[in-house]
Amino acid sequence: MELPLARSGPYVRALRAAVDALAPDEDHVPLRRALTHLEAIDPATSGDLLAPAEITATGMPSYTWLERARAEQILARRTDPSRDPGDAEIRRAASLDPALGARMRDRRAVHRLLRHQDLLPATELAVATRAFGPTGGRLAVHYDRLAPDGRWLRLRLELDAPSRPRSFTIDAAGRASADESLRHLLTRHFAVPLPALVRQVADATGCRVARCGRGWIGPFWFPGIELPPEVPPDLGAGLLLNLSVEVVADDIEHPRTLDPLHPFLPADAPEGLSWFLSRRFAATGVAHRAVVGWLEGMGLQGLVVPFGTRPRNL
Amino acid sequence: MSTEPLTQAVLHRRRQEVAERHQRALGKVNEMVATQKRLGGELSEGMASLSRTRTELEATEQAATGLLATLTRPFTARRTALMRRSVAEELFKRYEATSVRLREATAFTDELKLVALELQHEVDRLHRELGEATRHRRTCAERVLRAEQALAELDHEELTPEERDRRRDRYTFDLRSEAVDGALYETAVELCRHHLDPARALRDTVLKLHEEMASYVLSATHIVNAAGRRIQGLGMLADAPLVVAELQASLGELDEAMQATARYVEEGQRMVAEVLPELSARLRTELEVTEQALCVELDGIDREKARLDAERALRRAADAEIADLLKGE
Repeated sequence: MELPLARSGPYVRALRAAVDALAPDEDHVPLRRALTHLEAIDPATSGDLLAPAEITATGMPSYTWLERARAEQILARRTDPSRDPGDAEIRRAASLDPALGARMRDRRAVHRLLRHQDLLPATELAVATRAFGPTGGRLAVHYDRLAPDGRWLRLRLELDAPSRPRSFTIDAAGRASADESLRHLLTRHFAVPLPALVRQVADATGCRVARCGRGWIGPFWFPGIELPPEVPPDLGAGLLLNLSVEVVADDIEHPRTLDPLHPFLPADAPEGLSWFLSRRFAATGVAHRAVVGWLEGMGLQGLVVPFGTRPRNL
Repeated sequence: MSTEPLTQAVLHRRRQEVAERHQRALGKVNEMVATQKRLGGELSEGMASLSRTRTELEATEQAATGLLATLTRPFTARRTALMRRSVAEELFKRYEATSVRLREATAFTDELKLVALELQHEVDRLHRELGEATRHRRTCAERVLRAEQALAELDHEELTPEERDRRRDRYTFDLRSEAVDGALYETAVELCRHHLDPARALRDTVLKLHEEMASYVLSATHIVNAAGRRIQGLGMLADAPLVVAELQASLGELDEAMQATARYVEEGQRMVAEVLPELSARLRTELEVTEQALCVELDGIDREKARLDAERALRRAADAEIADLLKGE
């Protein structure tokens, strides 16, 4: 769905405020990157430079829209900041052609924003060692992705690794890096049920999976976006952002679900691991009242945060 | 221009300014050629890489689904899992590369437009200066003829010898001054005329580059956006063997966009490679001509020459007026 330019600004600012209000933790893609990405595609920053503003069926910005900001970032980082056009040059261009002057101003604003700040990646794999010794240790793996349905995904893995795990390199200083092969593996299997993902990762790397979490930001519901059939239609009457996580881990003492869309835990869990599911919402006005009422009916509380349509200043 | 009294020094300075502006514009266009060359190189590289990606994907797919692969899979499953490449990853990488080039091309289009606008501004300026110089030249010519007439009538007037001498000195001085001014304005007119052609040619070159680039960017954007939507839509299934063929069609679309870019860049480079050197040479020649024209032999201006020049200037002005009138009809 393509948003008209006049609607894309309020849309982006509302989504940004909702993401900010939910303050996603380490189970999700980094908050700062998400907010910067939204700031970049906001017409208040980039005008119509990154248009068309397209969204997916989940109400999240499309891959192509977000990718344009990433492409501008690559260009911005390639160019010397001193070669950015100055105010006088932009004024001069605007006097010759106002639209061209506006584009030059917007491009400069986007480049200045993106030169030193990171954006959400199409896919990215990061790994860190935790207490790694000669006989092995713990590896923390983050895999971030713009999912095909538009939601923002993080796979978070805690692996008990032998001294020389497959797909990882641990240098003398104890710093770890992951091979491309693992990234390719996770890109292929990011959406499979968690028990299957745990098996894949364990088989491929030779590590024991102590924790495997999948965190999603989105969908973003508002009038015009189709809601899942199990959700009351009132939830789509305002603005409502979902933030959910599904985890299997060996340190969950009391398996439970706090996700109203998954009221029952899956039957199968990998050996030694337990399930935890959670979903929180950021909502405005009508949607806020509707989602609070819906959750109370299921005995769930404290999962909704209200948000204004403007993000706080960062 | 109109408020500044015209002297040889002023004319010389203006000539220098115009020459500098033209040299800067040529330099800018040269920079643009370099940018195009770089874009072209990157595109060739991208296309080669894209072609390799497709071959590898086909090989991967054959390896994953062939009979031998089916028979040996239980023994090689772990190795294959890590060795097998994600189609989606390859697509993201290729798409990103194409998207960056497209953004670069978009920014380049804006640069071309700005240079074209600046060059049009230069053409406008030269026209304005030409109009003013022509007007001043005509005024000078009229004054020369008036002074000439006054001198001719002086002998028939009843004046004291002293008064006649005084007036003759006055009219002679006026005549010489106006003749010099007229000659300077004549040079200014020539200067503007000489510079107009190269300025127009530069503007037209950049305009052509801009038009072609803008048209390419528009169609490439459409194709790349469509490919991006398909890549996103198919991403969830990207690694299922059944959709590989469909994904390869997406690669085909990217391929098409990149080939269109390469074609454009090749054509653009050829055009600029041929047009620019010719323009540089022309600009140099024009500058030499105007330099010579500027060395006006002011001392050599005598009454007869001044009168002839003034009459010629008026004739030209009248011709220009008639031409304008005819054009208007």
